[in-house]
Amino acid sequence: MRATERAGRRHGTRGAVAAVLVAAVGLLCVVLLLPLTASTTDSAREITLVIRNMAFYLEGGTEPNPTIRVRAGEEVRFTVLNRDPGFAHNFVVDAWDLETPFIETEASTTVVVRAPARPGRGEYVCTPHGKMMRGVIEVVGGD
Amino acid sequence: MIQPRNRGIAQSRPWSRRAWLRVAGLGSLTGGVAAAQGAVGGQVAPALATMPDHRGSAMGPVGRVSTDSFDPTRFLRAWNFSDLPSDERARVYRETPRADGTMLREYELFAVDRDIEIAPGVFFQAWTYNGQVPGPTIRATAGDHLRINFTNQGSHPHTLHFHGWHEPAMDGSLPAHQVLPGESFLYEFDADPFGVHLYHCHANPLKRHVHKGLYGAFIIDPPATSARPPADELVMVLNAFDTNFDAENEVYAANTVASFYVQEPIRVQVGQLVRMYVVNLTEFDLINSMHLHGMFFDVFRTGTSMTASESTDTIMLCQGERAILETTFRYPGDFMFHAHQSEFAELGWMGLFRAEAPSAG
Ligand SMILES: [Cu+2]
Ligand SMILES: [Cu+2]
Repeated sequence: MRATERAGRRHGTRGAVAAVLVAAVGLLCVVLLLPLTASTTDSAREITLVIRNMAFYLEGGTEPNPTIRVRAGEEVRFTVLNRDPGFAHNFVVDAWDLETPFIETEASTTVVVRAPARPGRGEYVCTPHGKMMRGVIEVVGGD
Repeated sequence: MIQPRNRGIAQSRPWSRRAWLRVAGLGSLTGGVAAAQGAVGGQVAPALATMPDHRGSAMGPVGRVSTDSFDPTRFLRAWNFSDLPSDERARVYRETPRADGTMLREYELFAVDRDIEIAPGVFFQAWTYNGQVPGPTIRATAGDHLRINFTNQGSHPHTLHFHGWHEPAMDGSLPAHQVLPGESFLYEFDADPFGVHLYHCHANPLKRHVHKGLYGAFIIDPPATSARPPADELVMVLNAFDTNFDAENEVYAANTVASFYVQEPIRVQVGQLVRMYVVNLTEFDLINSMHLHGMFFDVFRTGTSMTASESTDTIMLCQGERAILETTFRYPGDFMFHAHQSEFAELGWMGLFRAEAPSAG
C-alpha cells in the first residue's frame, strides 16, 4: 500500500486542522506512528470507514453513508479506507474543519481529531461525489 | 487528477499503433486459436511445437483484466441492474405495476469519472454512467413509463440523451439541457418504439463525451402479447478507446475489455436460440462491423420489426446504428466473432463463442 499524502491533493486551505496525522497502512508506518500517538490513543475513539460503490460504510456495516455518533470533546481517530477501484475519494467534515487528502484505491488515511465541545449535527462528504457520498455526523453530550 | 497506474500508455508522447501493440502485448490471430484450444483440451496443439517462433503471437493480450468493478461476462446478460445484489439494486432501480398492465420503471443514473481497465494493465481515464463502460443496460417493455433521475458527479457537464420518442425537453442535447457537476435532472418518457436503442451523453464536444465512455444500450421489448420467442439474450456494445488523445482509437472491443471473450468465451447451448442486441458506439471510425464464424444469423435492424430483413454472417454498423441478431448454434465447439476490419480485431475487437451440446442426462 502507498502513502496517501504524496498522492493527495488538498482543496483550498482550510486553516489548521486539529491534530491531523496522515499515515499509510502497513507495519512500518504503524511502528513509526506509535510514539507520536502514544499519548492520545488510550482514549481515542476508533472509527473506520470503508468506501465502496460510491458510499461510506462503517467497517463491517451494510448501511450506506450511516450516521456517525461521537461524544462531545472526545478524541476521534478516523481511518478511511478506499475499496473503490478506479476512484479517488476524500472525507470532509466542514463543521469540524476536517479534510483528508484524496485517497487512492486500496490506500487509507488516518486522522486524529477532537470532536467539538458542544453537541450538534454536521455532515460528512466526499468532495467530488458529494451528492452520493454524504452522511450525518452527530455530536452527543459527554458524561 | 487521478493517476493512471500504468503511466507507460497514457502519456502525450506519440505512439504508433504498432508500438502500442507491442507494449500492450496484443498479438495476432494465428497460433492463438490453437493455443486457446490446446489450453482447453489440456493438450498443446502439435503445430505449435514445430513452430516455436510463433509461440509469442498468441491471440489477445498477455495477462488478465480485473473483473472486480466490471465483468464483461456478467454485463452480457444484465439489464435494469439485475447483476446487483437486491439491496444495492433497490438503491438504483424500482418497478411499479400500473393499472393498465404496463410498468413504471425508475432509475438512478449518475455520471462519474473513473479509471477503468480496458486491456491488462492499461487504464483509461473514463467518464462513466454508474461507474461502468458501457453504462448499465436499460430495458423496458413498449408502453412502460420511464423516470430516470440523473445526477452528475463527474467533473464536466453531462446529459442523458435517449434514442426513441420523447418531448424535446427530455432530449438532453441542447446547451440548456446540460446538467452541471453536482446537479441533477429527471428524465421522463414512455418506452416507444420497441427495438434495440441506445443512450449517451450529448454535451459538447460530443465526440469527446461519447468516446470517454458515456453510453449504454436501451432495449425496448415488444408488448407481451407479441413478445419475441424465448432466447439466450446477450448485450454487445461495440466500443473503442483513444488512449493518447490523437482522435484515433488504440483499443477496440465488444463491451470495453480488449479480447476479453477470447480468454473467457461466451458460453451458449447448441440448439438454443441466441439473440444478440448489438449497438455500435465506436467514435472516430466511420463504421464498425461484426462477423460470426461458421454460421449465419438473422438481422433485425434497430429491432423495430419482428421480421428479419436479411440473413448474413457479417453486419456493418455506423455509430449509433444497432441491430438484433438471432442464430442457433448447430455444432459444439469454439466459434470466433470479431469486427471484419482486421485492424479492429487485432486491437481487441475479437471473441469466441463456446457452444456446448445439451447434456445427455
Ligand atoms: Cu468520492
Ligand atoms: Cu458528457
